[in-house]
Parts: sequence; structure tokens; C-alpha cells
Amino acid sequence: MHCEQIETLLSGYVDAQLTQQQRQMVEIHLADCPMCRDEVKSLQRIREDLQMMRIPDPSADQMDKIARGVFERGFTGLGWFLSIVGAMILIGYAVYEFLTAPTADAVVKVAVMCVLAGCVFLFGAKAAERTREYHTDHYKDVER
Amino acid sequence: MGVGRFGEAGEARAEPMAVGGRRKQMIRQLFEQEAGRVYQLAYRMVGDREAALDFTQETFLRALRSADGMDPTRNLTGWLMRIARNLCIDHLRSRRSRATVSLSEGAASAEPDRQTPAADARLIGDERRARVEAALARLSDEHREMLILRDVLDLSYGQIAETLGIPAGTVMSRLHRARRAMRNLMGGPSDAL
Repeated sequence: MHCEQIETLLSGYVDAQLTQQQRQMVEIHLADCPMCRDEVKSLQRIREDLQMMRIPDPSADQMDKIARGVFERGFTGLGWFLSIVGAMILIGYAVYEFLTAPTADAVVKVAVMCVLAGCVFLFGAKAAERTREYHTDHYKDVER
Repeated sequence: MGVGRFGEAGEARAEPMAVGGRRKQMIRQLFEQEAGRVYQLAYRMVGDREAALDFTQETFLRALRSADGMDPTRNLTGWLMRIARNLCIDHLRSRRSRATVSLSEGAASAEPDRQTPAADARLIGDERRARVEAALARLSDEHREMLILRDVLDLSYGQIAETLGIPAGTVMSRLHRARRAMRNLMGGPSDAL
């Protein structure tokens, strides 16, 4: 087998990523070819040079902080959800009591209804914006 | 938690299971195995250690969100690296509105007082390391990407194929070309030996 035929396999040989058959082919060739043996040494040196380009890993504290940010976010979301649901129930009950109270002025009732309607519209607009963002999210189609 | 703990055969694969309730556990396991490698990849791409920490967290958040539909029989490390790579590329593109972004392009353009790869090499004062960094910066995007994924992050050929979305058979030939280009930039075979 000629050097040209074996050349591409040399990187796979250095990385121990060849099949047994490929590895045997390379080893037979290397036994008789000093040029390809030099090539292997050269590739190994390049690999060693690049391996030293790693930087130190983050500290344990930094990793813990990242892990909390990833895996404890669910509790934050649940907290928000429960708080919002509770607040909505309270507001709904207060509004009902206010609107059905015989002592309240009709003008005030209308004003309060307008404020509430405004809040609902603002919430709806924000929800629509979030929905649009989701549909244009580059990563929702990341291949799984 | 670092790269060194993964070993050569650090293939992260999940057992087939109903993901739903256990997806968080699965991603947590992936975090324990691969967070260091995701950090290294993000650092090489955005060129800043603090930003790399942020991108590591964002990568796992996105993985967690995507876990419902993931195929546990596929290469999870490659899947995770692809998320991290896409995230960093998108960030660099939006930051600088440029069409071409590579693994260390961000590092080359980061502010001088930040902990960039080139600055790190200078600070360490290691001449060889600085030469390797300079040669890496002069490589084509394709070659640089291959060398970082294989030699810096120590990904297997299968993981690289999954990360880049290329056939596994292409990895070896592309990697060989990249190493030869790197050797030429480092001063040829005699210097590299």
C-alpha cells in the first residue's frame, strides 16, 4: 500500500479511532515507511500542542452556581405561578365585592372596570409578544 | 467536572426511558459529565471566561427545555455541543452582525483586558503556547473548528460528527487536513517533531 493511500488514516491512527482492519493496514505500512512514521510523530505533536490549550475548568463554586441557575429555576417558576394565581383570585374576589357593594358610586365602578380592562389588554399584548418570540426562537428547532 | 474526567471514551448516552419526569435527572447527569467541556467550547468561541460561564448555563437551560423530544439513543454529548455551538455562533453574529463566525473569531476580537485565549497565552509566558494560539488564529474556520473539537475538547469522531452535523466518515479526512495545515503554520514537520 502506498503512502498516499494510507495518509488519511494516519490521523485516525493517532486518535485510536480506526477499525481493527484499518489499524493493521497502517501498522504494516508504518513498519516499512520511515516517512509515514515521522508523519505520525508530527501529528501526535500537533495533538499534544493543542491539548495544552485547555484552560482550567471553572471552580466548584462557579459550577454550583451554574447548576443552581439551571436546575433550581423550576422552583422559581413554580413560585411565580402560585403567587400570580393567588393574586388573581384575591383581585377577582375584591372586584366582585366592590362591584356588588350597594354603597359604591357607579362612576367609580366604571373607572375601576376600565383599569382592570386595561390590565387585561396589557397582559394579553405581553403574552402575544412572548408567543411571537417563541415562534421565532432559533433553538426550538435544534435537532434532538 | 472537568474535561479530564471524561476520558477518551467519554460518550454520554442515556438509558432508554420515558423522559418526562426524569429529563431533569438526565440533563443533570449530562451536566456532571460535560459541563467542563461545554465551558471550554464556549471559551474558545466567545473568548471570555465570564461569558463562557454564562453560555454554559444557557446551554444546559436550552438542553433542559429540549429534553422532552430528544432521542436518548443518539450521541448526547454531540447533541449538547451542537446546542452550545449554535448558541455561541448566534450570539457572535448578533453582536457583530457579521456573516462568518468561527470558533475563535470571538476570541480574536474580544477586548484586550479580558481573559482571551491569546491574552492567556501571553500571560502564561509560554512561547510554544503562544505560537500554537497564533497558528490556530490563522487557520481556516473549518480547520480550526475540527482541531478544537478533537484536540482541545477531546471529542470522539462520532461526537464531532453529531456536533457539526456531518457524516462520521468526513471527520477523519477533514481532521487530517486540519492537522497538516496546523503543522505547516507551526513551521513544518521538522519543527513539530
